[in-house]
Amino acid sequence: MMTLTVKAHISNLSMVQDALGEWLDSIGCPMKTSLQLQMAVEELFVNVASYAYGEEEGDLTLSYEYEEELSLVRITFRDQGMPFNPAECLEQEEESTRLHVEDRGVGGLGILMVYKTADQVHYSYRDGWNILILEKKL
Amino acid sequence: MTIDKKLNGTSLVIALEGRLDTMTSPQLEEELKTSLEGITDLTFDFEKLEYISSAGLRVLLYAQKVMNKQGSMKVIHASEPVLDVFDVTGFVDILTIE
Repeated sequence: MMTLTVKAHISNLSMVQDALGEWLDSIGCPMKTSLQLQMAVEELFVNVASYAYGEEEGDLTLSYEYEEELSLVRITFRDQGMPFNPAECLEQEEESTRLHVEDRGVGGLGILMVYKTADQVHYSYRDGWNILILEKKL
Repeated sequence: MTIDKKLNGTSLVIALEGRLDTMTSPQLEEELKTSLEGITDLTFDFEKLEYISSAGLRVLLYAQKVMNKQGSMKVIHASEPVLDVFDVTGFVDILTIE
């Protein structure tokens, strides 16, 4: 398992992505799945960096785990920002995919992309912590 | 990400190489804001684009809206991971993909 704690700031995205890419290489993750997981992590990281702490600074901890016997990658996000359950945005984002091009806003599709990519997404809020877990089989 | 532009009259081909993500999308958006005037035929060549996130989709949506007013736009040579993203986000219905 690898754990990385960074300031939830957009300038740290490249570092987080590079670390994830290297870790996925080290467990033999196929390129296609690696790109999908990097995309999911980017979307969630950008969400936390953009909204979780408002104008304040705050930390985000990412854990990467691989359960070899199940071929399962588990990525956990923990932050102490505002409670944010991504499932609540999902319906709105799904609706936006059915709009005509001119009616589509610049708004998010990121959460939808995360849910479509991961096999499981689990969110909880406990003792002031947002805990979001993504699981995907290799 | 590198951006390679080829202009032929009012046709513009933009080939992207690398990643179109949160960090690089503003670069493409800036480029488009100064490149699309008078263009009637815009092609994105994604043969060497390995990755796209929602930030990249937003820029493509911007380009599509501009081109709907002044001509046409298409995406060519998109790789499987990029096509998957177009698929789950409904962009397959918005973009012309060849």
